[in-house]
Amino acid sequence: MVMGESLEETDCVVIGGGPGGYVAAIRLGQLGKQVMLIDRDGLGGVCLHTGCIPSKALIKAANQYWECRKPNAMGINVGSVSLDLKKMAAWKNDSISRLEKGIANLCKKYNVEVVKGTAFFEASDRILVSQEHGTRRVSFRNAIIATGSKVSNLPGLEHVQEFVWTAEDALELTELPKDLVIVGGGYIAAEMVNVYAKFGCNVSIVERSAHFLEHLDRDAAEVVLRGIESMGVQVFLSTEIQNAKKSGKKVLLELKSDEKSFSISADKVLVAIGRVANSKHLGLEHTQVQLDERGFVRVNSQCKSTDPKIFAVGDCTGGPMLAHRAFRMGKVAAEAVCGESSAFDNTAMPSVVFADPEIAVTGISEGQALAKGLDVVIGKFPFHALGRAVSSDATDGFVKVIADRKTKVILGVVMVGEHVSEFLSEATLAVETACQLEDVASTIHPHPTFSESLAEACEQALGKAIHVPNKK
Amino acid sequence: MATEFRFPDVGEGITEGKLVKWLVKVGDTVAKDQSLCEVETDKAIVELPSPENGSVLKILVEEGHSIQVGQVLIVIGRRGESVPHPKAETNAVLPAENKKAAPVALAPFIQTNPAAVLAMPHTRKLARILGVDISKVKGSGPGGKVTDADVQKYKENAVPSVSFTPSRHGGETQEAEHGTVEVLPLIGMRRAIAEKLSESHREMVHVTLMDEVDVEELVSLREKEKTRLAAHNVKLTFLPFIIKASIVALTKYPIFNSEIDVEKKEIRIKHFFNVGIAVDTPEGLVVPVVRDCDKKSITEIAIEIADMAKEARDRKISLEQIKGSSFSITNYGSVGARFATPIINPPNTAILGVGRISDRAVVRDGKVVVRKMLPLSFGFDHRIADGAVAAEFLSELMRHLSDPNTLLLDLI
Repeated sequence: MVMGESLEETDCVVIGGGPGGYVAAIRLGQLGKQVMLIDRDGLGGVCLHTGCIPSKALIKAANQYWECRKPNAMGINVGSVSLDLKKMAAWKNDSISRLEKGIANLCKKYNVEVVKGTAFFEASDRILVSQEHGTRRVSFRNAIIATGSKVSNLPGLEHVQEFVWTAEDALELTELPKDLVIVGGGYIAAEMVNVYAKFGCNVSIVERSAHFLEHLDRDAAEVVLRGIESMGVQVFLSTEIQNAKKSGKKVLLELKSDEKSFSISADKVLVAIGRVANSKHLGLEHTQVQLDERGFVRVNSQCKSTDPKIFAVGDCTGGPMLAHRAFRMGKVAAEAVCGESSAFDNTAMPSVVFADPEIAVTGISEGQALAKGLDVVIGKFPFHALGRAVSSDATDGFVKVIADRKTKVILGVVMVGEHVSEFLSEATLAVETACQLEDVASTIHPHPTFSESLAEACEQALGKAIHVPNKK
Repeated sequence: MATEFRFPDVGEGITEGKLVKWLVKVGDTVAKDQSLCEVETDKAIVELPSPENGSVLKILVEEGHSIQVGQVLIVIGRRGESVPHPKAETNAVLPAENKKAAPVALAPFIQTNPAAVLAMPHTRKLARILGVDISKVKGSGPGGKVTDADVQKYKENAVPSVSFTPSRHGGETQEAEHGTVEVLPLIGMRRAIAEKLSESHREMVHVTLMDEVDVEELVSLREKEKTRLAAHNVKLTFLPFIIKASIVALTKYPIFNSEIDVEKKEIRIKHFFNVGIAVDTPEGLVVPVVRDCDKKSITEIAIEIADMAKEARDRKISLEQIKGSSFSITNYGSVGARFATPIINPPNTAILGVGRISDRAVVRDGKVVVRKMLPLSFGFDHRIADGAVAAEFLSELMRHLSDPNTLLLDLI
């Protein structure tokens, strides 16, 4: 069958079926457009297949296992506990395929034609779709690029490739390496150490910068670092890999820090040093789309690129590379295609690190506020003063609120502790809607919950907290 | 040498406009004839093309501001070239990010520094819908939060020229001698309409003939064809039939397809049939022109009218599209009226007013029967013709509407 010969037509093509792409496609369908969604690696993208969802499944499993094994003061004694990796991986994969089917059904419901293949722009109004059997040529009125990002490689490890894992490999859960070295000190490292240390692996972290989770609030990162080290994980900061060589069945990493050179051996080296945009090999040179110096598609606040017909959303447009950023951009772009005056103008971008304990942040941080020279007031509430935290044996954590000193408008919130991801949305709503401290403080929060800490942090900033001392 | 681009004379006696939107920014490379900005004039939004290739050195007018013909809007020259007359600088401040040179401009869309704006998401959306840069709005809410009311007030104060139609926009209230009055500026489209109609009423000798025509057959013909054309996404109204019938009558009585020049003492009969169709828009009446109606089929005219009406309502009608009519039709029947004394659209000398078709009791063969009747009001300038010719014209027109088959005979 020669399909590439005829030119098909559609209102809009969406390239990439990840969070940005499938949401854009569905919204376009809802708005009555004829949509073709071209997806290469499975609906749901990195988020569903090799990112957010599988990592949360493994973190849940690792926590369950760890809860049985860790010494506790509650008087629960557990006998022998064992892991069935195959069953666990099957359970994880089942969660993924259930969610993927859900997306496929939604696409069907809104008349989105899902095409498996890769897209290549031949012009500003035409793509060539390469499929397993043949090609299709499609002309469109508008296109939305949602091709996402992929993991960055660490140069210098090519000769020991059999020992190198990406985050995606680590989430496959094929084996538990006895000695695991994680290169990188960002959120992926924090989440993967959370999984593999709890499964009983001997984990080390090698990070080039002087700080673990260096882009986050220092006090919050400190709580997580304390937790990691208490599980026996070694964290080497300001340390770089000088050389790697095979040594029997292991790989030997030669490391160099400010003070010394030393080496550690590993069964696997998990490289988690960041992600780069998937913007190459798309034929963008045949359009007016421009990339910035780092390879991200340049877009305006309506997600429109420098080519008037083409929009772009999600990771391929830059950071922070978060699925919920892509969700929002996908909706904005789809609505903009339909002539609505939507814009990606959010003031608060929430983000969560599913470490132990969790870190959840939104709006601006204390450091950013200082750097901008803003006059802010800080309110803080520690979990050891929170009834629910004490009764859950989870007192390591706090909530910190950053507000404008004069207007009392909440500018940002940093939280660390158990379950904080679940009430980050309240903090985000407060920032997005420009709430003042009093608005949150005067809202009744259910007792006993972890979320009470947000209200009390606001009260502390106002100098009228009940359960902790107030500033003079 | 840098070139100062001035707001050119775009014809139709237009002397001022409003700069709606810049399509380029400082640092952009522009090609000759590339659109630089959108300008709203009395009757349409036009895009002004660049006079030459070059780089945008300076933008002198802020979006939303009114401009006069001859005023310098933008300076174009070689990249890095100094701008002449530095004292010509105004406070036309563009967002800082727009000042950065970029190889290709991103399509402008209201960009604000989100962190600097305190407003609920729905308020920000309202601002975008109203075209307000919310970062410029002073918030009256708690902590300086911008409210919906702030945005609306800013819109009304900053761009009063949007308040064209008195009944639909509020104005400033004043205490006058006999009570409170609301004062609306007479500007933009409303003023253009007022001036043109005054001229028409002052100069011409208006006479209106009225009659009703039995359109039973036309109604059934249109019903049948409507369904057929609907399958091709064409909405068939009565208007294309009325246009065609008018063309046939005008061919027979060409005096009503004319223009009068009192100074030269001439009546100029036009050998082209361009029909202006009055379209009601939220901002006021616009009269786009369907050209060469004698050469077009009823279906073609139907499609063209639908497209034009939409463009007029979206304010996308170009100056070209409202020029050059030889005759006009106004359809007040669509809003329920039956008869009117329509004002002639200069330089035309006649206008046909179309009322609403309704069931009326009429006498046929000595019996009272119910028929579908179309009320018509034909206005003409008595200077160019007398009542008898006008009556003949109207009866010719009515003959074709009551028996649409004759249209076929006269058209072929």
